[in-house]
Amino acid sequence: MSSRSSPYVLRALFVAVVAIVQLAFVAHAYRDPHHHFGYQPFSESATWQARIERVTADGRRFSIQSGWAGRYRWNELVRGRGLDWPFSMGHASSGIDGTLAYFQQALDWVARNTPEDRETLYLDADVIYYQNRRGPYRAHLRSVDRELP
Amino acid sequence: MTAPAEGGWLTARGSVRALCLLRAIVGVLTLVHLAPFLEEMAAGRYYADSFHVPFLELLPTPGRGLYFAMLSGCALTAALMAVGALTRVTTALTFAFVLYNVLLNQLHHHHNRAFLIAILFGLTLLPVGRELSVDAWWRRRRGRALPLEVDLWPLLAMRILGCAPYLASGSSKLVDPEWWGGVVMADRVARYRHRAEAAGVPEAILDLLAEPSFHAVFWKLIVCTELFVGVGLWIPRARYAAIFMAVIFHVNVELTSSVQIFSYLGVAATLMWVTPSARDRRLVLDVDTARGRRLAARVRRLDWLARFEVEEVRGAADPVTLIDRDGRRYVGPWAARYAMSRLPLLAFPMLPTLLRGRPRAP
Repeated sequence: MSSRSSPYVLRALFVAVVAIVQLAFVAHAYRDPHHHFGYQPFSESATWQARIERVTADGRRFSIQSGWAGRYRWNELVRGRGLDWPFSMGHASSGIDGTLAYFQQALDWVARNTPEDRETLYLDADVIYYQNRRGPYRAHLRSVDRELP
Repeated sequence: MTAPAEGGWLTARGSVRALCLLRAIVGVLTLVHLAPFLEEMAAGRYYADSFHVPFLELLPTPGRGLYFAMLSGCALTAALMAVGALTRVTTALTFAFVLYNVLLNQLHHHHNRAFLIAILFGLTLLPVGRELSVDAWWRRRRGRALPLEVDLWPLLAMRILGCAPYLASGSSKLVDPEWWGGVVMADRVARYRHRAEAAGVPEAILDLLAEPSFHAVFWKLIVCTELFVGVGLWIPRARYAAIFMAVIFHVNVELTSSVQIFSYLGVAATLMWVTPSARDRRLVLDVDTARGRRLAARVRRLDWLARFEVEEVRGAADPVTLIDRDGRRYVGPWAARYAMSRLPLLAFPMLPTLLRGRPRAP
């Protein structure tokens, strides 16, 4: 390989890498519920709704819709992508698989980041959703267990 | 544009004027993209105070103050990028923060933001401050203007990223039986009919949109449009038609959906497909005629992409004579329409007027 052609080889390599990376994102988007960097907008028509309860160590259940532990409100702890108010039927802007994946992660995050709540063992959610004229479907999600004092 | 036979695109040199215009537009669109983040900052809300999911756990989470400083800094660099000040640095910094901001939180990802990142990446690869910039003006004042012909090979990477949304979106819908069959959009339309009614969409259109047969056909056309745009942009003979269809596609998406900056970015990004050569067509205009004077004024004002070398003459045989890149000469009304179709603001309405095909030169 001549020294004159090596910059062109590098250029070709760079362009090839760009193409391969973009193609990889597009291919991965078929398995990724969020389709990150894969350009699959409006992939489905889905709506969802969830009832979220906090469950104490002794089995008592309380809805969190109006807040809990004196200061926590779901829509302040979880913002955006339609996750902030799951209590009424709404559009699943991330697609239902993506929305439920985020919702599970949100339950876990809230469970881990509400230190003033000293009695909730875990968060429990019942989800109803519709997908492309099919449904209703149900899903049950549960957060990680919290360490209680 | 010079493209030696050996190496092709890898060795080609040419004008990036169209990309300089794209840079200016994307700088403004980046500010629009940052607006909701700046609003959150103004309200004192820091993204890491609420649920967030980093793309990469290893990516350091900036503290509130640092994040707000970087966000504000990015707004500044985007503005400077738009006007072309310290262009390569401000473009690179803008790209870096926009990417970083999305990587900080998966909830920040939207398809239009992914496309913005791709375009910004492409703009960092090229000297898009050579023209239509404060940098270029300042260099000219100091008598140190840089050459307008540059290496074009990064444009190939940019075009790959530029066609990806159309091909990826179109192909994903092509292989989805529910999308291809119109089920997805029929359901969306049915669910949000009330919004269309509130927006004043006529009842006749709403009734049409409620017809299953409409959805069975229409969305197939949309998918085919996306795929045609993604492929057609690469074919010189089909490129203008692809750009025309892309503009129609994006206008329709903007009218019917909430897609943040995607539609504006999509239309602006068609600039990357402009032939990267400047003033390689000649317009000879007889300024003793009204037609010649009108076209001369329009071209002077609107030839932002420097498509034409304009020569004003008097007493010519034809008010308008156009000498194309390949040396062919055209005269008369068709030549005038062809010239106007190469001006960015007039391209969209003028392109269909060329469908009759090129007349033979006299």
